[in-house]
Amino acid sequence: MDWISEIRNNENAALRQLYSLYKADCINWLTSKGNVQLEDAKEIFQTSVVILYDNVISGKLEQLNSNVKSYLIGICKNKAYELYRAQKKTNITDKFPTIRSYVIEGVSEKEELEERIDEMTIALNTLGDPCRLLLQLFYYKKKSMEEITGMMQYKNAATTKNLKYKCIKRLQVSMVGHKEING
Amino acid sequence: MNLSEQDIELIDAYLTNELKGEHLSAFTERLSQDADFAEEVQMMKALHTGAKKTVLEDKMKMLEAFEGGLNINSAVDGRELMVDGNVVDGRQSMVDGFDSNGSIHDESKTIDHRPRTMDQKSNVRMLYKVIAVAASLVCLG
Repeated sequence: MDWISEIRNNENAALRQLYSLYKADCINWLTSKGNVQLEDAKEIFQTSVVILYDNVISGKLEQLNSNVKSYLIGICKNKAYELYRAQKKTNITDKFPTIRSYVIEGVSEKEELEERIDEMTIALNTLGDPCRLLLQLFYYKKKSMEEITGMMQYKNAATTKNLKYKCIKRLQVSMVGHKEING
Repeated sequence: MNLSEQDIELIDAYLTNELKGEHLSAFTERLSQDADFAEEVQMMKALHTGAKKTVLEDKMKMLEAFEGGLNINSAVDGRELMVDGNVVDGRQSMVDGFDSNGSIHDESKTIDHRPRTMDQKSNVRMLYKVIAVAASLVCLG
């Protein structure tokens, strides 16, 4: 199966299938050789699947040289496990600390932006859809205005562009408000 | 701060390395001299990364729900998770979130008709179990 295409074209179903197929192998390695508790191993495995997804969507992974199982278990053994150990040492009350560490890790000017990214995550989640979805499609999935217009069934690209602007203005108000409240 | 549509486009181009030559020089000069603009650039940087973080967190929620044996398409917040372009779920209103005047429908002020979440469902199941056990004890007694 061409997993890269599957993830690109039908991401949620592909991720669920990957999860079902390779969960046992990865968790088995973590619990037996990695000395990780079962619940923690599940979290590490979930993070691994999400990292694989991000590698495909961001274009970092365009072709698999090994089979997907080896690739996924490789992430599980190294990357996600590392992130998990690192987050255990810090005192972050994020719902998904391994994902937070993974995202922050890829940012230049980490120190200046770390707190701001957390605030932005809260602001985006508070803002809700359709703004949240529109901005995710544009900034994460790199969809064009025309594509977003079709996907979200808006009138035309100019309308979508204008709505994106309004959403960002709302985010800005929310971020400024947060800053004023928290000093 | 008065972030304009043009500034957003300019900052987006800068953050995706599309600004070149004199445009880039003008941008970096403004960045060093205009504190408000520098603040806006920082906010937009956070948006670029924050959008990614929310998508990946959504995927974690989806996998958590899947692990819990829940049908993902109705999981967690009641909509298809997330951005696979196949939008949507039963909440078609999500894509109509902007009305015809171009104003934004504020989801946070809407009455929540979403399906029950995982926690709520398990609470109801637990309640049924307690009632069933109590009824059995009464019958046996």
